[in-house]
Parts: sequence; structure tokens; C-alpha cells
Amino acid sequence: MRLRALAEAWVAYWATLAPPTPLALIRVALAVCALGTLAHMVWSGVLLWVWGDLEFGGYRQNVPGHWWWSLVPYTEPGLWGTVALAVAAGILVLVGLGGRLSSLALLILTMALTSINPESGGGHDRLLTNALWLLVLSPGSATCSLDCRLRTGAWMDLTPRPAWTRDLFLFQLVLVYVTTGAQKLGGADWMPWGDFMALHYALQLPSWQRWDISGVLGSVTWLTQLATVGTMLFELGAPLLLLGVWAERHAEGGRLVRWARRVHLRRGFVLAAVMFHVGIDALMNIGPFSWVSMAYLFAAFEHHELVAAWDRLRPRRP
Amino acid sequence: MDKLRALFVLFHLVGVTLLSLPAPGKAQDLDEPEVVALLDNLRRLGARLGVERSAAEVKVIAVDVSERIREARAALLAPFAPYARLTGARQGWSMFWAINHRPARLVIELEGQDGAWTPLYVARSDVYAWRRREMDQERVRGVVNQYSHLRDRRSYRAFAAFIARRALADHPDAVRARVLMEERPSQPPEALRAGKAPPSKRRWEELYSRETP
Repeated sequence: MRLRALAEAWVAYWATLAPPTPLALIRVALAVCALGTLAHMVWSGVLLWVWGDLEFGGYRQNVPGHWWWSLVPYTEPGLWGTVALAVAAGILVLVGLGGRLSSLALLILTMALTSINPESGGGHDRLLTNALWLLVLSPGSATCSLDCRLRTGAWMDLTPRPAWTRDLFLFQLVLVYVTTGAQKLGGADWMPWGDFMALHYALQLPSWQRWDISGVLGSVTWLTQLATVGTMLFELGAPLLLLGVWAERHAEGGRLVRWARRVHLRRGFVLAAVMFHVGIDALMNIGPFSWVSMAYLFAAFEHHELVAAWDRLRPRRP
Repeated sequence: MDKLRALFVLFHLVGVTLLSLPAPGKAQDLDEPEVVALLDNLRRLGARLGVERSAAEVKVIAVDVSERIREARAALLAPFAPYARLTGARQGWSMFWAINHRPARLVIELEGQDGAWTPLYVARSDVYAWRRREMDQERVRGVVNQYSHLRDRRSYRAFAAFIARRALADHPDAVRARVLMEERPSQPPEALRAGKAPPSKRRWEELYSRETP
């Protein structure tokens, strides 16, 4: 009987409806990230270097594993055609035209391109494709989109729609933080017996450093140690984001939920996440990882909160 | 519909959680400096708790345990792996868990008509910054990062030959190009404050002339 009640509560929870504004903002942010990463490759002149074959501008022979390349020949025109389609799909997702099909197209094309040379990719590619899959499952173009404009004549449609993917976005982000934090427990530099020197040494890695800051690094050891501890606490404490979101969405709840609401746990965590990612991006070049991660954070908010934030941010007319 | 959705969510959540569990390394990975340090820490912890084992014994245990875990992991992930492969929901987030203390940086040098070698590119240098826009791009950094750990020599040779061809094409006066990874230990704070450049080792040197295929 108890199991049955649990199952019913589970089914009811995932059937929740809400205005899809947070999902629309995730859609826009992800499209900007996907387009940005392609544009940066073209602007830098490395697209053929890393995704081309030895025969046409690349440094190695590639055997792309994605099924797309059994339909489209892996040649220079085939590669550029695929990039052009990915840009087109990215623009459609950005403006919200074509609904989930556009998101699916962008997902498939991103997977096809990043499968060419896995050496050149990393966590940011996985985080992006995870998000695009969740976007395929979401009504992300139901509002703030051309689809909405064509359907209703207005840019916004606040009709409540299935909101279950918001929690999947948040769960995915928390999973990234927690699993990377848990693995760091095995790295001595992140622990007291390594004097919390992880970031001191990470900021000297030539592969990822954005600037050579070795001139000041020796004088701010306490700061890098503090940031190392902060990183561990932030990553391992990421489930607090789920608690914070739950507390804001549900008026009822026990002592823990009331505490989470009282200390504004959700907003505090989101602020910490933004500081964490902006800090990483300022000091290290690890691709669009930080920006894709921050796109997920829109899922922590409700429509009315985002509208209120927008009202506060936009310039007022005199 | 609601029940189907709830079932799918359960499948997805269980799947991505299991897929995000890190795969333990293979036997050859246990020789990586970061892993050697971890095993040594475990050995010392065991000794403090009264379980004395030699480094070789700890390695044998680690190989055995990691093989068992890998097999169990593969069996557990079997139902979810096709889903992740098809939908892009692949996981794996072992970011910066072990910091490389002896990173190597990419260096490209050119030989002039007089036989003298001069640096053309040194990773992250403001002085030797040939084709910086390309070389600083995050995907090129990703490619070079594995060589920074002195991993995958075969891929390195392909990359080095590619980059040397471009360097020679951009500098018609140069006779030959040399590509190498300069291994330089990261410095503790006191050494950085003293401003002493650490001794470096030139590794994986590859030499290319215009005739090199």
C-alpha cells in the first residue's frame, strides 16, 4: 500500500504544469552556447584543423562514429554542409521556430560534429548534448519564440505546460557537480594532507590557463587554498540546490524545508554557482563549460520570478 | 501518459546516475603519477590502521579491485548505454580530480639558413606566439592537453607533423622545424616568489624538413 502511494506521488509530481518561461530561457542560452562554440571555431580558423581529415585540412585521419556520417560523406563539403546545418538549427532554436524538431536537429548535428575528433572535446560537449536532449523533451519554444508569435499572435504564452524537464536539468547539473567533487576526494591536492593546493597547481597548467599569473600566484596561496576548499564544498554540497528549489516550490514542509526557505538557500546556491563559473572562466580557458552550466540554472526559477527580475533589470523610461 | 512519463523519468534518472559513476582505471593507468600518489596515500592510511602492505601488494590489490568494479559497472550500465549513446546523455565528469604537477607545454622551433634554432611558438607565451588565435582555441588546447600528460605519442606525431608543415609554409626562409613538449614542474609558492625558473626537460622532440612527407 505504501509503495503504491509512493508510486502515485511520483506520477503526480512529474505531471506538474507551469508556464514554460524558464525552459524558453534555457533554450535561448543553449542556442547561444552552441552557435558561439561553432562561430569561435570558424573565427579562429581551427574548424578544419580539428574536425577535418588528413585529406582536407585536418591533422589526423578521423573515423567519425556517429550514424550521421553514414548518410553524409565525411568530406570537406560534407563537413561544411553539416556545420551550416548546425548553424541553421542553432538559429531556429534561438528564435524558437520549429519546436522540438529544431532542438533535435541541433542535438544530432552537434553529436555528429563532436564525434569526429573526441580528442578535441570534453565535458562541455557532453554537458551541451545532455541539455539539448532535455530541450527536445521540453516545451521550450512554447513561449518567447516565433512559434508562439505565429500560434497566438503574441510573444509570450503563459499557458501552464509540462514542467518535468526543469527538474531533470537541475538533477543533471547537480550530478555533474557531485560526481566531480566526489572524484576530487581521491586527489591529494584537494585534501588537507595536500594543503588544499589544487587550484594553486591547476592555475599553472599550460593547457588551460587563460593568463600566466605565476607572478602573483606565489603571494596569494591563502586565496587559492580558500578557493580549493570552496570548490569542494560547493561541488559536494550541490544537492542543496535541489532542497532549495523544493523549499521554494512547496509551501508545506518540515524544519529542513522551512530553514532552506528562511536562508534563501536556492538563491544563495545559484549566486555561488554563478560566481564559481565566472571565476573559472576568468582564470581558465576550458571552453563553454561555464556558460552551458549557467544555462541550466534558469531551471531553478519560476516564471513570475524571472519576469520580476527582468522588470528590475531593464532600463526604466523617464 | 502521466505513468509513462513517470517511468521514463525514473529510467533517465537511474541511467544518468549510474553512467556518471567513474570507471576505475586499467592496469597501465596505475602507473600514472597521480594514481601512484593516491595508492601510496592509501597504503600509508592502511599502515596507520595496522594493515601493512608493500607498494607492489597494494598495486596487485588495486588491479584486482578495479577489474571487478569495471566488470560490475559494465553489466550495470548495459541497459542504459544505448540510450545515452543515442540521445547524447553521456556522462563522465572527472574534471581536475588529479592535478598534473609536471605538465609539458608545446614548443615549436625553426632552424634558419645559418643553422641557428629560434623559438617560434611556446604555449601561453606572449613573446613566441605564432598563430596564437588558432593555438589558443579551446579545442586545440584539448588536443594538446593529452600530450601535456605525455600521452598518445602516435596522435602527437600526427599533430606535430601537421603543425610543423604550417610553420615551414609560413616561414619560407626556415630550413627545418622542431616540435617538442617541454616538461616543466609546477612550482610551489615559495619557488614562485623567488622567481626562479624551474629546470625543464625537452621531451618528444620531432624534427621536420620540407622534404618530410
